[in-house]
Amino acid sequence: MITLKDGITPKPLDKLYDKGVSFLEAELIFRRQIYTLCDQNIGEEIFFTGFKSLWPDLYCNFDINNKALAYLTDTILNELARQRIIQDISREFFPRRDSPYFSDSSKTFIPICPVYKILPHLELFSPRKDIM
Amino acid sequence: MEFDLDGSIRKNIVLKKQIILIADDDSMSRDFIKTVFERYFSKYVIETYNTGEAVEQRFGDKGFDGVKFVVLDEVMDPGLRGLELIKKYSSLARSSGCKMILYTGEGKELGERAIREGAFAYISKPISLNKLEGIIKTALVEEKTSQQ
Repeated sequence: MITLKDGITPKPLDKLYDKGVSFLEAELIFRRQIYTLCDQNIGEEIFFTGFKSLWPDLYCNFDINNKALAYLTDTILNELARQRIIQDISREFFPRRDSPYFSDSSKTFIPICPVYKILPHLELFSPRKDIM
Repeated sequence: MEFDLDGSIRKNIVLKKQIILIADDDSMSRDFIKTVFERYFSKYVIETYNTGEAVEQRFGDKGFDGVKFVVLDEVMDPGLRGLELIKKYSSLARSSGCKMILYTGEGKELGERAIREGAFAYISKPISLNKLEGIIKTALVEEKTSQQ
């Protein structure tokens, strides 16, 4: 079981476990979706909303907690920002908001910086290189 | 009719208010879409709504007069979805010169359904600024062509 930022541990969800897949495996697929998105959109500016749409299709009924998914996305995006693969340009779009940025759709405060420029980088994920 | 000091007739043109409606239950998404549209349509009035019902009420109260774009998120909790609004209002919108745009995280299939139902365009989430700007530019070109 993975523990996300701030000690949040997603609940083990029956639907996912019924398929014999762990949260970690689903997370890996999710990460690859983000990596592929970065690889395919170099130079573009992306508003990282709709995290659920990147969650693997196979698990679309898997009711992942919005907050857990936002934290996971935030973790992945922060990693990529630290590696200078993406650059936070949220300030241009949300000048009236204080940093860190918050989403209020779930009535809880979730720190996310959703607009990123994808910087030139070496391919993060190639299915051909995938040995898993 | 008004006259200038030199006696020439000044055309009494009343500039009609141009409006863009944006509907999303997430304020950040609304802000993002609004900022992008403001770059291209700085003189337009941008109205924002957080439910499909509020948009429907707005259509009922004021119709589509002056509305140039309606930009809808597919999922607005609770209630009416973007696609449902497109189904119900796209022909009325089109006849008023209004373009409806849907953004969705539910895949290409749903976006293409929106086009069949009369949407001008759709965009998939996560939203690429380039793609959104591409849609706006296409709309501007189309409008210019239709005016000629």
